[in-house]
Amino acid sequence: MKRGVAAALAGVLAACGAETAQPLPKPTYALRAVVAPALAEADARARAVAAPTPPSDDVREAAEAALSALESPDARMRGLALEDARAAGDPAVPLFAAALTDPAATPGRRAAAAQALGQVKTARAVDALATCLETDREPWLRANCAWQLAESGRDEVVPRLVLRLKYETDGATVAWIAYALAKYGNLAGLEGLRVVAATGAGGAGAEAQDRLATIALEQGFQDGKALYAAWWNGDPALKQPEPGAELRDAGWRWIARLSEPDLRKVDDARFILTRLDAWIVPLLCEALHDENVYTRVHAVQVLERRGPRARSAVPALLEALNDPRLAPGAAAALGAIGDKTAIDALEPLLRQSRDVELRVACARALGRLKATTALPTLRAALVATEPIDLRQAAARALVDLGEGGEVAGFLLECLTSPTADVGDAELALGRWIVARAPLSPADAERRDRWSALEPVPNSVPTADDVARRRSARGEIARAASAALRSE
Amino acid sequence: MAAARIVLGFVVLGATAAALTLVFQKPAPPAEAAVFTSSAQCAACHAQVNAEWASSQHAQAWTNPAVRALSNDFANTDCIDCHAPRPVFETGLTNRVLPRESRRAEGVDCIACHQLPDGRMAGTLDRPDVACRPIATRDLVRVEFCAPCHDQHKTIEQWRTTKYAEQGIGCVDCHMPFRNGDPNQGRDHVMHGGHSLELVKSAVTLTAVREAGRILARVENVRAGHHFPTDERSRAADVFWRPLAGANGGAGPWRWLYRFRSPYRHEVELVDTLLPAHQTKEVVIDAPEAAGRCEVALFYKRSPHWKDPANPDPDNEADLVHRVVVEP
Repeated sequence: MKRGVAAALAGVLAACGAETAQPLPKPTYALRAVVAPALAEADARARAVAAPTPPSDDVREAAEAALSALESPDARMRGLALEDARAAGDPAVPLFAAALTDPAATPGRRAAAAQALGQVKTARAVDALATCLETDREPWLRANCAWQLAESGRDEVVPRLVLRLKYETDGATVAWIAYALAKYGNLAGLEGLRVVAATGAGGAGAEAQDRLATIALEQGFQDGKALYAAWWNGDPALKQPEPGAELRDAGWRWIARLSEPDLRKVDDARFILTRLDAWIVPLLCEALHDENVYTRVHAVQVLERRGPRARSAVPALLEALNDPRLAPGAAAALGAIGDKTAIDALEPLLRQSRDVELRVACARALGRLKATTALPTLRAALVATEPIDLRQAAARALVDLGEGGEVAGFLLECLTSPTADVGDAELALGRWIVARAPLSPADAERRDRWSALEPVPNSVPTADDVARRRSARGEIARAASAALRSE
Repeated sequence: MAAARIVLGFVVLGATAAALTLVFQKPAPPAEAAVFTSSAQCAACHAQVNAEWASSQHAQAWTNPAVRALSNDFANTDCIDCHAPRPVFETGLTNRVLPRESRRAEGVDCIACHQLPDGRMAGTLDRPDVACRPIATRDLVRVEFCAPCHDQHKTIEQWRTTKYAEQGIGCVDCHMPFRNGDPNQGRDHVMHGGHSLELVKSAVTLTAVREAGRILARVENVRAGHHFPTDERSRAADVFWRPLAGANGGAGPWRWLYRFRSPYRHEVELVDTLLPAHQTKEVVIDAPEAAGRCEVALFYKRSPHWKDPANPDPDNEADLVHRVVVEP
């Protein structure tokens, strides 16, 4: 009866032309425990490994003999000692590890311990070598450990090697870490290797150049630069390593650290996850559904940082646009990945969303995606009634789309505005000036003047330095803008 | 008598009218809820607070040239979380803040600290009749409120071990004191810290005495509610000394003696030498040149590196905190 009355009322209202309110469909984005169960499985696998056997007297004797013989000048003796170390096996690891980390031991004995551990190749041996690589003060020993880790054949050490790239200061050790990573099919070390090869840091330039050439050749590339570009751009022609079960578990453990309270640990996790190979991307996509907001937000940041190396995450990121917390980060990641299929999803959000954060991220992403179809929407976002951040993001996108001349005046206003992001305006104008350089000798000259004002690397400019630089750059951009108007 | 009765009658009548007015007075109507998308909106009503904040390091968290240089113009995106954070109340006290995509130029702004998840503002009063509809929120003055960013370098953890923690003296008591010491005037939003040399000077003392032919220099953390220095690994405090040729000066170059600093993680050869609260560090000057009149000084730096590490120039690259002269 009630339903009948309601239906009749609705019919009358409809006949009168009244609009019945249709609730908007609520976007659904499923959240669940993702990381915790994966970690529980990883922990169960770790527990299933047999407990280590304590070293017997025989093992102690064999280990000591192997260490002594490894210091022998006789190559044959050293060869036999390596076999002995291998035969002593995992029970001898604590003894070798103790010799490795003993600061009172001679360099020869510590090197022998590294070699011995390199022969044992068990999880504990790899852990001892990696710990030494992470903590020892002697660069030569760290380099030695990196080399031994390359030979261990246990890919679960890859995240730890990657992390060392963030902190290692010794050029030769960086070269050996890169070599070890390449052995496991990971090319993250190329970045550091190229720096060491170019700068000769720590006198390791020649060694780094050799390593770089060797790795490039193994991957079928002419030089390290081309290989690095291919790796960073996610070239599908590159071989992608398949992770072992332990490495996959290690991947989950680093994803779990995305929710750490300590940002330094999060930073480490982001650094590693950005540089692991393609196998980590599906795990990160799963993590986008984790009930922990930090895990989700930082996972999407990792996908953004991976850029084209996260191409397979596009469907998951499009779905993540439905999570209000994730949406801005997902839009940024889609822009960084560079897959143009995202344009159709991002453009309506820039136009219609009520979330300024999301609209700003969409504008930036559309610029990165060179979305010419979104030009009218980007221009509409420039109007004075829109928030300043959105206007700046739209202006920067127009610069990316080759329409910088349209917004140069606005960006110049931003350069001195108390409410604008002045640094961002300077960067956008810089891109415009650089993009114009091929057009005429005058534009090229302006580009050169702009570049000459770059801050000195590794220096901290004062506020006055920055004000002077921006003033000078403002003049250059004004001249470019005036020249454009007179064309 | 009659007149007195009349007066009394008026008094009673007046009091009754006043009481009735109070009882039946309509409460102020709730204000239309405003949507706050920028801290600039807050300035309309809170000009003084806004002006104080605008001069603070919080306001410059995104634009500070040093920050931009050290973060490579925030290409190091790790820094964004705390330099352009979403509201603390969104993620909760002690929990880490999340980064925002917009309004980054406003740095650590009004919204980051005051906006509640429902769009209202945390404040000191309940005022449903004004646009930002503040709710009295005690959490604003708890140390856990500062922790999401400032415990990243263990400052809150350091504070917990001090006598100040036992006494309930928290971050705001030193860094956001009441204006002119008057609670009715609200708290100062300049939020002085390591950029205030005055505050740094009040945190530590420097003494130097001659004993058994040597000079003993002592730096004591007397007032900081955490280690000295704290919060950023880029900060350092150095003790220098130099012989003074005569009573009227003629000082030689500074000689470096000791550094208080927490090293970056890649500086594996360095150890953490921060000075915990209430503790004293004693360093000895035992050089033949120290036999005469000497000067000992404590300098403070916000960037740990010297232009020429072999010949540091504290007069031009650091701030003088304290100096003492030791007579022969």
